[in-house]
Amino acid sequence: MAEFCGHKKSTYQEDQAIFPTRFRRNLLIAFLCFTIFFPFLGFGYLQYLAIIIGITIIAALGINILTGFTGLISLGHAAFVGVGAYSSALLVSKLGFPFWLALPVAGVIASIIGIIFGLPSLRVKGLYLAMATLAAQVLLNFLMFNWKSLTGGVDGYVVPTARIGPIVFDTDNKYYYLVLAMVLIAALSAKQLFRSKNGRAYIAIRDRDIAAEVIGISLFKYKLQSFAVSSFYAGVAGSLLGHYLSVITPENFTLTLSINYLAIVIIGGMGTILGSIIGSFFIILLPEFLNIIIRHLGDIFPYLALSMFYMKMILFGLIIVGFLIFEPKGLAEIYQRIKKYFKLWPYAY
Amino acid sequence: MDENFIFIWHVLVSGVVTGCFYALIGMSMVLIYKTSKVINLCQGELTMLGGYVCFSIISFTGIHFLIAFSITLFAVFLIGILVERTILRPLLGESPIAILMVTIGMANILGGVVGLIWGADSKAFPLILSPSSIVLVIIVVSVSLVLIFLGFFKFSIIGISMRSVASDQQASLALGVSIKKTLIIAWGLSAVLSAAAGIFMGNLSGLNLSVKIYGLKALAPMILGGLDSVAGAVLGGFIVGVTEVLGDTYISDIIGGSISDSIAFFIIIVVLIIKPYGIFGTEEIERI
Repeated sequence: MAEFCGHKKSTYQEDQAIFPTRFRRNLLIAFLCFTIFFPFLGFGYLQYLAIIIGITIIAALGINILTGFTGLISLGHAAFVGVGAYSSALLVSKLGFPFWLALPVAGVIASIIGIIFGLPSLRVKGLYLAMATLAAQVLLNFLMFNWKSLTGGVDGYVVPTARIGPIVFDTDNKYYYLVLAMVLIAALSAKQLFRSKNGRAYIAIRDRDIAAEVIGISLFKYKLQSFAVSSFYAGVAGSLLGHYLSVITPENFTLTLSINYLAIVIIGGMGTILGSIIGSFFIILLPEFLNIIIRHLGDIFPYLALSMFYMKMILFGLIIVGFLIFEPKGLAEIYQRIKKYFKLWPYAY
Repeated sequence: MDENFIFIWHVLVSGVVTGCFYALIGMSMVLIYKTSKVINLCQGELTMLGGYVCFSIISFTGIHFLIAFSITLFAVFLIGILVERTILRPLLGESPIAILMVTIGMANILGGVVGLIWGADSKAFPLILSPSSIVLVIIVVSVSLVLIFLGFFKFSIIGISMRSVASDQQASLALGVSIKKTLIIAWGLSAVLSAAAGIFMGNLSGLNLSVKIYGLKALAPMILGGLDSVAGAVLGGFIVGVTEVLGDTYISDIIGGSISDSIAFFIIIVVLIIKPYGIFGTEEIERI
């Protein structure tokens, strides 16, 4: 008997599955195997980058929940990452919290601070949250710089090494697995969130807020909730970042980083979990590629190395503008298109 | 006169001058917000660009300041049009998030270009007047610019079409107002206003790359006055300017760090808590 082409779904379970096809499951397993064996390949610097990418993915998932799924924009995500980093560091070193407890508590503190700033602007529609979070970014950064007794100011704050029970995360290898586990938890729970009632409410608000309100979704409640979840992700990412860097300064959490997170969401793809992951890889690896290119060209054109900072800035701007104009759904959409092309390859129909 | 009084007088004048900058930049942002419902986050870069272009014209050709001033305003008008035409036009009708992000991208491009051409070190304008008379000139010119533009919105055909586009795009399209043309003019004029602020800043205290933060700080007068009120932005600009200088004089010592860059953002939060639509802003009421 001839098999039908394509993937048939005969139950609701299959229809709602997180990874609906066997190919995607296998691809995921293959990718996971690769990530697990990655440290054994012995790339020193690449492993550092992998850890930073992992932490960025968690933060980017947070801002994607807010911007990509709920349709609100935050210009202060880096500040909430910073709040997470500082509160986790202070909890562990001053109050003697164990790391496994400080990590979620840092997330909770970040979301409480987020709510304090987001509350007034979420009552009104429009781009007010963008401005409130911009203000939060500047004011929180100002506090980090100037509340010297708490944060150490520009000199930085020394964060104790993370430890869970007998395991001390003092090497890159150990920390890599910690971050990997956290990324998996973060990505899967974000994926799960959008199969639940609350996540669907966020999407409804993004797509048409008036219609959502009419069918009984409380705009204020769900917007606030989405903002709190987003800040929680930021806080967790900040905690991981702080314990990894071991010295944090206010310069780690400036407006530039906030814009970077937004760029990740735009470039990766708004409203897709995959987009946050691809976008994080892109934004972290892009400057590294540029550094390599400029290092090689720098011998020939010495002026280039001097102006590298500005060149990066222009390129970064061009990429954001280019993606918004030509590829508004981001890299995730390009991936889907390639997949669709090869699904039917070599026949066009 | 009492010494204390002179000191306060100086602080107030300096506050009013800062207020002029805020009024000009805030007004230019409201102009864009009114016509296209976009919060333009590259206004600070346009301000900076205006200052640098004027500086270059003066230092390369040595022509009179006033001629350089007018050439700059014209050049920046064209740059504003270019920005609208290249990056805003393709996104006409897209979501506000996309448009806000594209202005951030543009801010990066403009900031990078300015840094690439003029470098990071501070540039001082050649002095044409004594510092105290410059302050007077800045206040007079800014206030008259503001008045001219207020009259322009109120009475000229272009101004009226701008206001009609702001209130209802479809209706104004039906009445024969070209939305694209109106948007282009709005962007050009907004660039002119903020470039004027940039040139004044350069004359008063020299230019450097940190001028661009005024583009973000000008959100405070914008919100204080109400997002869509031109007069509100002007009033808000003077309030924020004076508050900033007063706060910087009297509070910075207590905290032990300069707070002049944070006060504007503090005002944003306070306004959002107390009166989110600002002093003159229209409260949005949606009809279903």
